Amino acid sequence: MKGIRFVYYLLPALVILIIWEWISRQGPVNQALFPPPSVVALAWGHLLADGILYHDIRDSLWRLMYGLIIGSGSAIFVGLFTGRTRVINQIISPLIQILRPLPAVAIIPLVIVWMGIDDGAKIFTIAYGTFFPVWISTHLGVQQIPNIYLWTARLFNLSRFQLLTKIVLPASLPSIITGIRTGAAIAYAMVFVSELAGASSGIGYRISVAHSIFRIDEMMAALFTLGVMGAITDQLIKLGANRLMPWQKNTTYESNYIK
Amino acid sequence: MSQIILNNLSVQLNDNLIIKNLHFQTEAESFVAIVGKSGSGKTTLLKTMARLLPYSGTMIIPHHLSLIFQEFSVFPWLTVENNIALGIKETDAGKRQDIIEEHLRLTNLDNKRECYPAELSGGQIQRVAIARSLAYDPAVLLMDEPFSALDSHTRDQMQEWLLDIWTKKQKTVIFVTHNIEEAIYLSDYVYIFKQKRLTECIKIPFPRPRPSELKFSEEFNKLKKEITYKID
Repeated sequence: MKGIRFVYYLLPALVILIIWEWISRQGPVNQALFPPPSVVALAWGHLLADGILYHDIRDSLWRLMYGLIIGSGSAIFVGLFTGRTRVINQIISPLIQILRPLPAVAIIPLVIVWMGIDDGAKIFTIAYGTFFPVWISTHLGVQQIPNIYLWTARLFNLSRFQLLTKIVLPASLPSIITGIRTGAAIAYAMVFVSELAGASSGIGYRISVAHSIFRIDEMMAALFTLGVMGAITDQLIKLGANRLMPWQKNTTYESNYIK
Repeated sequence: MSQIILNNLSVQLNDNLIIKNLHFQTEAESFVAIVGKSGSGKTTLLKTMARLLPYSGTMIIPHHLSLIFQEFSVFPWLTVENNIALGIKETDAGKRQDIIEEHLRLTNLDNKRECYPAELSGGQIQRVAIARSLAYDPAVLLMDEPFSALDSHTRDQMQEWLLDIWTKKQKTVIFVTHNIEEAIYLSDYVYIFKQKRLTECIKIPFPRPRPSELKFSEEFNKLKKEITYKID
């Protein structure tokens, strides 16, 4: 069964690679503009062997982690309050709602003016982009806790701390995790954009350099790396979520699929 | 004292008067059922008694009470054992564990202690809710159609089991249901909720313990018909 599933995962990628290779080598496109996957793989191997890719991944990853943790942490903290306390919601939420529709990349010029081009500015940009999806998920997750749970907690005279740790947080956790997964995807976009200007390392920087010297194969290799990093991060968050929410291990949504 | 007195009680929700000048008084440690048509306001009365809704009038009811809801209210993220432990106020770890063990045994959930609610049947989930409420040791137990989501066989089993528990624990129970058979079988008194108030109190004449065959007796069915007629 696992073997079949593996084929399901691998088959579409394999088909795309074969078609891509064929188009690039036989088709009407310029190979320099659209290098085949074999050439991209070779470029990826060179970047890896030279240690360039390792440094880029390391620098992008730690910027991303700091940004994701700071952005998500502050969003969960604020979301718990705006979701539970009417006054705080009335004061803070309108402000967040004004900032939320702005594309996060639009603040980069302002951040550069205020904070320069060092890592602090990049981490701030990533945290800013991550904040909004995590906040809205936390806020709504808290607001949508069924009344019956809150009433039960009230009847058992739980303290405010118990209410937060035993009811509110676990009840809104699935929603918070969804927010973090969305936030992580945005964080990757923000890593890439923030490294395009004023960086000397990172995957975004590598793509920018490859572009300036017209190495499309290296650009694609770096893009592929960024995609794989994003997918691994998402799977790690999913894995962490499964450990944090053991009560959901028997909840499968298999029956939701169209037969 | 676990006596309950409601005097001139009115409840208005969103400009809608649900309960109007209701009077109610019950003895301590008695089992009282409230019956009425669906949507008549029985659940609102129970929630008001639990002080979850605003009201006007006088309400004398112990603060240490518990409410078992019609919907499954056990917390999905807590195991059976941790759900039961939630309301226990005892701080000594040993005594706490003793209370948990007692209620796991009482509700026949010993072998399910590590399970999450998603792994249990509907009947088992409601047993967890009842065990959790009893472990809290309330003076009054309010129950809002707790068996309505169960099939008739499980419902019968749960009724017998509840009577057994009530005999052991001797709590004042207010049991809301639209099932007249269930109300007669379980309770000492059946109140009829009609026209926004409790209109009549019927004393159940059957002695305890009550065998399940009682439900097939002529006397039982005669009383059932009488109450059905009064509700309509």
